[in-house]
Amino acid sequence: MLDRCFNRTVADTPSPRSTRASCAHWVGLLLVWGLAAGVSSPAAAQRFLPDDPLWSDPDRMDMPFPAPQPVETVQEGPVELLRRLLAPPIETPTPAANVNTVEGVPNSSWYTNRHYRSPRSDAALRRGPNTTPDPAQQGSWQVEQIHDSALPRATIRDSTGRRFQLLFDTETYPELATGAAMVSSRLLHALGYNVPHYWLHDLRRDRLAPSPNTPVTDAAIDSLLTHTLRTDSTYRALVSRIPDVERRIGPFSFRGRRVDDANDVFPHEDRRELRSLRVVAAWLHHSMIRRRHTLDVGVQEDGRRFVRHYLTNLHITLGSAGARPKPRWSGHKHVLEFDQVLQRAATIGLSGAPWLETNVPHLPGLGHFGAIGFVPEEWRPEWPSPAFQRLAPADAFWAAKNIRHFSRSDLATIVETADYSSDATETYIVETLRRRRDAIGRAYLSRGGGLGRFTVQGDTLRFRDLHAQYNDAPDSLRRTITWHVFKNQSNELGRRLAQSTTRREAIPIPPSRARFLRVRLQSQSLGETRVFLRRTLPQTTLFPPMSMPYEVVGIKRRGERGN
Amino acid sequence: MSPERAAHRAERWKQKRRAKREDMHPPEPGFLEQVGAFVSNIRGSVVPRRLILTPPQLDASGLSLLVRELGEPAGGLLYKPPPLNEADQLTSLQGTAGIGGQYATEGLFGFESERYVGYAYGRYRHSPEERFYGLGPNSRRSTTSSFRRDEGLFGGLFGVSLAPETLIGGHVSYQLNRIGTVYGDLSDGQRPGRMLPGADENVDFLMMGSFFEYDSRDTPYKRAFGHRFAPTENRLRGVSVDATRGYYLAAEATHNLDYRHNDFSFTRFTLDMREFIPINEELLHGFAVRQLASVTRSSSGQMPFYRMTSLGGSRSLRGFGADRFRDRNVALVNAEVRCEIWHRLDMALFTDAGHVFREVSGLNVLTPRVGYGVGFRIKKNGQTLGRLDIAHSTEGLRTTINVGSLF
Repeated sequence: MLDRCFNRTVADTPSPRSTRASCAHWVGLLLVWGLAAGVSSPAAAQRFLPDDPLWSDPDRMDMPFPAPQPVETVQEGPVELLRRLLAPPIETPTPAANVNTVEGVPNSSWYTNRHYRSPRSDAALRRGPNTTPDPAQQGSWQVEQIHDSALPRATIRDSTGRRFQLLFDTETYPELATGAAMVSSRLLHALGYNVPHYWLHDLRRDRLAPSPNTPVTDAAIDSLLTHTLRTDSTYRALVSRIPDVERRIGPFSFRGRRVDDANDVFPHEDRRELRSLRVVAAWLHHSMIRRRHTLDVGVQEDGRRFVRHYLTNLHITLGSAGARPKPRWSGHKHVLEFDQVLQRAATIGLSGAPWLETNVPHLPGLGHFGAIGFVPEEWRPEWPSPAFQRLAPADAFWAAKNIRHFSRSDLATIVETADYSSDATETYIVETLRRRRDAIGRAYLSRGGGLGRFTVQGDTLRFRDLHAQYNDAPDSLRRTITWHVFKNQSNELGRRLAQSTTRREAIPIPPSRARFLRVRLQSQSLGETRVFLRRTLPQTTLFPPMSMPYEVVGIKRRGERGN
Repeated sequence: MSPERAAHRAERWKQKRRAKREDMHPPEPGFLEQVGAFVSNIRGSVVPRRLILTPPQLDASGLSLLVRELGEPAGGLLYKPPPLNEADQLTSLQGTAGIGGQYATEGLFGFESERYVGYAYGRYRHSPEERFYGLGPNSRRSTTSSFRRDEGLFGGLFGVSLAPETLIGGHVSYQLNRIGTVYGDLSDGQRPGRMLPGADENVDFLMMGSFFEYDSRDTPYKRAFGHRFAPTENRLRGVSVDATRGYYLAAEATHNLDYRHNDFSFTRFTLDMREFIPINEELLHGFAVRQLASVTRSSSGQMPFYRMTSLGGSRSLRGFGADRFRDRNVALVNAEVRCEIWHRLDMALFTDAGHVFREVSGLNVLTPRVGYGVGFRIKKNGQTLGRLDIAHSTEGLRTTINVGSLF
């Protein structure tokens, strides 16, 4: 009961001397209270701290920028593939390291809670990550560099001096790459990830001019635009920009930590948003995701310098592999799986490739993106990722509830931003995203009974049965509800307060003076969810009145097998 | 205060960062990382029988490392001056040397547009030991000989696309041949330097040729300079392993004028037809077949033995050694059933049947030389990077490894 007061006092005082002075009068009381209550556990066992649940990770402390590094100094994918071939994947991954006490991910330089925690308007979904203006329409866009790549790409500078990247589709597959980037950037942003700003523009040739003092010529620009002209004499261009970049550092790894960034203390393979990116990538068919499609940049905010972590090259999501559609095997296996190769060789190709049956309609701008044969648990990126391989059921549940939160209307709003020339393509992509979303919900949302959105309203604990709501499962689960007093200081259960069974999504909180309560909602077949409540007290209240409300301070889900 | 003792979660996480700041150091890539970075930065490309590697240090200079086949594996340098290698023009110089003492130089200068292709070429090759098993279909493997050959060639080619899938054109070249020392245990009648035509004198040819090509394959040859019909490449190419559907037909006639003596002038007619038929697209199966006939006519009835068409090796009869059978005329059929067993690996079951003959009347279609086997082809983005063929014939088992698409 006194832990919060004691902790708060210690944390808020500037020096040990004043700490001792201000807490001196509490020490005796603590000793008496502790002895009377029979509490002997050390403070280290304390489960919840005063600022739990933490919703903002202080990983944007002022730190020196790491030095820039090459795009990819290490081929992480092949190393992971070899590791996977030599050693079986771990069976019981450890819990994610950067989660708070309610199994959420605090806002950080990697991730920002967005659509699930506070639903975004249609306008916000449509705008996506774009918080800065697109290139100025006054004056020409000066082409500084034309890149040597499978897709026509260039770097431009607008009349305000800001630099942007331009990307065009190939003649063979119009709208494929540009459309995928528009859709995925908005979905990933709404999910909480950092992504570049993306705009679609209908360019005319006279908008582009060679930049002085560069080798770019008018002929080179003409060559860049060859084959991408549309019937209305415009070019469909994807414009992108990462804002506020003070230093472009290089890609981040899906394993380990940056040794040159003090803010980076959690191993990347143990970051929930990176582990869960496997589920998100499965949804968006981002099977080409790997280290080279990420970017760390140094930014400065309020005088603090820190590293922000981006997912980039989103034009290779959905059915697009950039200059062409994704191959049919993509998403079904890693680049090399010996058993399938041997099976096909032994049968002269008559078996060993079930993915061959996953056909998609031939629609402009679609590529190879469908829902038939999509099994979220079996979906695989082309190259193994250390973070993806450590996906735990809790990580997958977290990703699934975020993904499942998108309504069909949300998806339609976002897909509309790709401005596909074919209504059939737009409808098909919306439906495919919806069906893949539903499959993810069915695969992962049942953990611990599939409960979420816990809130306390008065003397009632309310929640949503996500499994029943999203998976069209009738709410026939009779849950056993068991209330206990919870001793936070020693992380132990106290006496049992009540037990009942119910199917409702609102359960009354039993009367108690206890500072912490724990309720266990146990279903027959889907595991259990434990919710911890704490009284919202003024910090100096020693004996709280029963009228003080509770708040949710902790959530712990356990699957059917206790994992 | 240690991080574990902090009272608030945020403070604990901050303290971890403060502690790490005190112990920071720049990343130091290990040996394997450095090797991996070096290898991954090398730009590579494959053209038939050539592997071109461009380390980043050489990228701006236009220089590349070249690995190719000159009878034996060979390596060297390829130089493409950047200002002369824009989208529609190419200039290249290359020099290579092999482990067997062979060496070659080659230069190309040309252009290509939507409709036209044209280039000038020059080449010199030195082969200290070219294999020779004798003439005709009944030559024996046990009695081999070898000879030295130096060849110089220069000329030009011009072609016009009458339609997107057709090309018609012609070429003119001058070829010098120098034949040298002969070793081996062939009988006198089969031994270069005795009764074999062209073995005891140097013959220069003025070559004038015309060609027609129809190509509707889904992965046709790029109109790469020097890899079409001009005699800078081996005439007997293989069936493309890249294509999965479509047809290819090439008809070619080349008159070789013996510029010095007129004794060895001859004309060669070649018809090359290939069909690529998907058997089951769902299962990624396909069928490929090639029929080739090459016949020569000469007023004197003679032509140099080293200009005769040969069969054997990875481009024709895979169960036999390179240039195993040699004569004035050739008929050849290759057939393959292919399937994709990995997205970067195709497997093929194949059979080859071929015959060499002196006169058309001597063609015996019932007794061809036959080989069969299994092949594996490494591919990337639809292009064949290399292949391994294991073939069996009456002369045993042969394994060949090649770079690029030979068929």
